[in-house]
Amino acid sequence: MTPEMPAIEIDRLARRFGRTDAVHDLSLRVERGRCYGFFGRNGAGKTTTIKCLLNLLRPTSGTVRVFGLDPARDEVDVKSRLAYVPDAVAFYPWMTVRDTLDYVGSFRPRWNAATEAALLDRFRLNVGQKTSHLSKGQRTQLALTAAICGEPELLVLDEPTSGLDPIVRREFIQTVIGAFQDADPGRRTVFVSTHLIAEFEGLIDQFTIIDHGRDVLTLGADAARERYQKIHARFATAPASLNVGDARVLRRSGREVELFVNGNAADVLARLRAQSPESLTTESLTLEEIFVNTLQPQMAAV
Amino acid sequence: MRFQLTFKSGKPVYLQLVDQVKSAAASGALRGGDPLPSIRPLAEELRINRNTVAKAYAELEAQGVIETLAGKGCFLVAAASPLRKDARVRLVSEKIDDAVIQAHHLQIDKTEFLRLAEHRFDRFEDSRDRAARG
Amino acid sequence: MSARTWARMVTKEVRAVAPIWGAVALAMTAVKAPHGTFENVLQSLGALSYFMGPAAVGAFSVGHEFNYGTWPLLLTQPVSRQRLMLAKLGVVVVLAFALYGVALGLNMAPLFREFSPKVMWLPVVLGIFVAPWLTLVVRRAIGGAVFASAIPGTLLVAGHTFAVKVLGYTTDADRFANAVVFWGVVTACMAGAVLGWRTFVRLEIASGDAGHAQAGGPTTRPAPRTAVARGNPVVKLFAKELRLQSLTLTIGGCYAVVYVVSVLTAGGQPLFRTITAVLTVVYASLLSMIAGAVASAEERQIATLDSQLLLPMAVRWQWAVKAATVVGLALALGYEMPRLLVWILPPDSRAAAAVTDTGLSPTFALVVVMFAAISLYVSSICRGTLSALIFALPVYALTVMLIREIVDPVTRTVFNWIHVPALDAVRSAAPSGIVVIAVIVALLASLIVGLALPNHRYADRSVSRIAAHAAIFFVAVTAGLATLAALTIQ
Repeated sequence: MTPEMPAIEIDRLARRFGRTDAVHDLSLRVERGRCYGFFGRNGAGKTTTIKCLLNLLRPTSGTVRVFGLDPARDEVDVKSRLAYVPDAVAFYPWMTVRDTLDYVGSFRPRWNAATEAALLDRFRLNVGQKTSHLSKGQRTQLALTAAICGEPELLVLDEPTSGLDPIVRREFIQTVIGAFQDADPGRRTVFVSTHLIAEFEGLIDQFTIIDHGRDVLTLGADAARERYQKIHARFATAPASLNVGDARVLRRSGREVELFVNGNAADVLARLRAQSPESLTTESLTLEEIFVNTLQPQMAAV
Repeated sequence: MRFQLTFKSGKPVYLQLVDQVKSAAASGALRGGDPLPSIRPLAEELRINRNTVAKAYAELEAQGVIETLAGKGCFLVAAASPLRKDARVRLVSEKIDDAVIQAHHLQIDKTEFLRLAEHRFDRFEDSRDRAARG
Repeated sequence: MSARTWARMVTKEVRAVAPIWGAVALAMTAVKAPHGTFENVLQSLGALSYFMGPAAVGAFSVGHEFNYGTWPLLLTQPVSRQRLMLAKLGVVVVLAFALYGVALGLNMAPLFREFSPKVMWLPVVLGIFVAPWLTLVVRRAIGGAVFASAIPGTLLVAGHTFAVKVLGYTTDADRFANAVVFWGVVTACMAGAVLGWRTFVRLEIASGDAGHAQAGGPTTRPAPRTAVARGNPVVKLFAKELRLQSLTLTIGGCYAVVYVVSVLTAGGQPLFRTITAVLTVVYASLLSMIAGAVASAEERQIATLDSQLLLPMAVRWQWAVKAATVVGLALALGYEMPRLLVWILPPDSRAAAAVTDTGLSPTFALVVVMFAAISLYVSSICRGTLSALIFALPVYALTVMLIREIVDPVTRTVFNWIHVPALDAVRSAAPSGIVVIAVIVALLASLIVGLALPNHRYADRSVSRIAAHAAIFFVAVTAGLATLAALTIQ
């Protein structure tokens, strides 16, 4: 495996259910060592895509490669290098926390007992407790512990923090950053699908937005924040007409106007300055705002 | 030191970290020899990508602002940097700009502003001397 | 893969399936009950448990992953599908043969003497090869177990029908029918082995299969919260209960089809010889058991229970509708439908005895009601339908043995007190024995159903509550038997 082999490579993936395309013509590429965000609305096709990575679903057409391998053909090789935390975490109800970790650990050649002890301590999980008596947050924590202790190269997270309280959500992200990423910084890859974008904003360095099964936008996080900006201008008197070029007007009331620009901030600013505004400010959009504006332009006035 | 990151500035996160370390060094909040937080705890606390912090630290080290001592962590470089005075002056200029705009809005003219500035400066030095004596 | 990994995989598979195996083995011991009343019932229960046991084990070895939603956990481990299937199948093979061994040890072979001697093998091979495959196809443990168990019976009737049509009523026809069963099962096993393996290796898990809210399952949406009631809520509830019982309805439909085809093709009094009568009794029993098992456990399994309990209708009335549906279906489909079919489409020789030759005597209706009620109670404790069905088997046996142990002492006690003048007056006014029994059974069934309600609605399963219920039932049975004896003993 050459070092340049991406962790995940999806090429024109399509998956039908009956007559509907859950995923259609999706392509993306996750290099090693990255934290890749996979953003989409509920039902956009995120879980379907992830299941194709794990051979829980087979693509209707297109290819999926994990570390260059086909998950359907080289199932064991692929799975020995990744770990998965699903959105609906389920364990065997008669097993205790200890049993579950031993069970999952028995499939893995490497198991980091020190990390396991540290995480159990951090999450304050009682090893003797049956999994059926754990709360949703604790089950997610157990799933994350089981995933990380196997020292995988790729961590696949499917809506991991949905429905969890803020403290658990923070600890989850901190654990991904610390216990997982820090252990082998250049080679540990994270692929997280979520609709709680604000939370993962700091972690993500590249993302794809998927909508109705199609990839809508793929960008680096820093590049995206540089490109998408909100410009707020206030004039001494309400201008009769506004020359804003390519920008989209988000809101306009009386003397104030708010614009959304995609990449051509300099040009729009120049046009506005030509109309002598009283004040002119720009602000970058967060990833969540970019998400909302990309998918629902008409409701983007926030 | 406290880092204040924002995703709304359009500036890459690692650059924000770099600039804030440099500002802290320039303003005296961080002095030569002070330790910087380790990469992993800082990344966890700010909940940002660990590699972003690593990249910021690498950049700072490349610019000679910080140095890594094996087994001990990262520390601010003790030697005085020729940039410090410039950075300090720039910081104060920014504050003065804010005050000037406020004065303009509140219709305080230039002479009165300068007189006020001198008065406030003297008062500050007086109270500092009193604190040093007593 | 290391021995340690294999050991853990196998241990987990065994642990998952062990309770089912244990319940079946326990129920099978009913055949060894000492001689006494209800001996036939106990022996039939034991035999039925053996007949369904291996299929239940085979179905549950795959089905429990659907129940608990653990497919993603299992299938994302770095182990090949082939090895996973081997572990599961290996455990099923051992446990199925273990049940065969238990059956031999309990000397169950003579019970099946009316059929071919090879019949004891049928459940074993079907449980190993067919039940897991069918479970993967329908994605429900109960479906795999029931359809796999139904194969021999269906083949027997089909083979018999065809044989009689072609060969007439001869011993050749019998041999032909047996051959159909044998070769049919062999074919099913070969198909199951190949297709089951293939299905498992290519198994796909969409979101809906995560144990809850099965796609395409019965829709149990809460009634719309409008000020003006659109449609009677009781009717809607009843419709929901019927949809929940889709498996029961399917089984009833299949029976009807098999009967009609059989009579139209071959007709004939011999259709109701002992074998088919046995099958009809088995069908009726199983139907009432399944109707009860589905009612509570299925809602718990597909996670609609909580939303149902929150509907603006008193839970006890919802439960009453549910229980009425269960008992009603059990009686209508299990008991009345075979009799109705015989009446509408009688076999060729219209012997007056043809109706009772279905094997379903009027008292059997009471048995059906009791099966349904007890099954409903067990269902209120269990997490899944197949578990409810299988765990009910030893409960029936225990109940029968309990009643049997009470009958003699109670009758004797009552007999000693029988000459009290007040009782004489009551006895002369009392209706006939069968009516009294029917009333007592109805009351007992209602009691069981009522006791089951707290189990159904409250998430905690407390052993003390169940023990209290058992004690109450014991007392009620004693009282009922005493009343019966008092009113009927001369």
